[in-house]
Amino acid sequence: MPFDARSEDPDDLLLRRFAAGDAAAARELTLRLTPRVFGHALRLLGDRAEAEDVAQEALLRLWRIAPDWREGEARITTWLYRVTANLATDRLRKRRGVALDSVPEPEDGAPSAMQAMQDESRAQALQQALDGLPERQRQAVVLRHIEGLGNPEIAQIMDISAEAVESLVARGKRALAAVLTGRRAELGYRDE
Amino acid sequence: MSNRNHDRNDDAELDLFFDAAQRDRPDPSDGLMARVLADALDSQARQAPPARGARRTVPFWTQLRDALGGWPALGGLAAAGVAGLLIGFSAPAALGDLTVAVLGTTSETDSYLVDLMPELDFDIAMELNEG
Repeated sequence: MPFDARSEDPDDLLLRRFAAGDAAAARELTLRLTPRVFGHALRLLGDRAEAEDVAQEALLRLWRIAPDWREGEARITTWLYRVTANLATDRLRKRRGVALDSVPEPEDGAPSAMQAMQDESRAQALQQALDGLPERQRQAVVLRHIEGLGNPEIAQIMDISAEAVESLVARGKRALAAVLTGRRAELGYRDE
Repeated sequence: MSNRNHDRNDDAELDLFFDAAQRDRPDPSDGLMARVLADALDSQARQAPPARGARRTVPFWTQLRDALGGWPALGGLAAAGVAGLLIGFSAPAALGDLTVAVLGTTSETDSYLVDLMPELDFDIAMELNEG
């Protein structure tokens, strides 16, 4: 099934069309939102199968509330990040006690370029380091530095103040730096 | 001062990891995309109101039939109507005999004239005579 169509409709408008029964809007929203939700779930969980389950569940919740969605109250992506984080947290709590080393390594691919290889190994190292952070720190760091959101939106997603976001991000980054500095040579980031 | 430099170096090094993670975005599998789309279409089918053009209008006769109680009720109504017509056009002989037995007269006109208060005529006549 090809999943390559794109349009420029804002998410709110698409969701309204979805609620009115427009199948094209269902397809467009799926294409737009699934990669983002899945990516976020994977960063929080570090496990592809679990991230797929969480992404599917988060989006299912969106489909169900679509007819009652109140436009202008919150951004759809903000709402989705929040639902995804809650679902991921539930799963993390269930598997608490699992050792860090047992987190599965991302699959090996066959990257064609040196840059892609380096990106992949760094992304993997970052993911392992993220997995070792407390949940709230991890969520704040991912939203800020990987999803690229601003503090006000992160504060809304996490239901805390912007100052608290800043503090979580700072603590999270300090912990990440401590883990990743030890892997400098291995990851070759002194070559930049 | 040296702490601040240290933090700045850490930030710069971390940015390399964040940049790499942003470039190395995980793609969802086709299976996930298909499942999410199937959920979307399924939810839509359960929730979406019917399209305006496709709205079903109930014909007047169907509404009337339903209001009267459906086909069984209509059947009874039709049978009663037909029986009434038959009696009206060709009253069976038995009906005349019944009339005589009940009212004690053979006159068709008398059959319809029943004096419910025969004393009243007398009282009125007396009043008029005396007045």
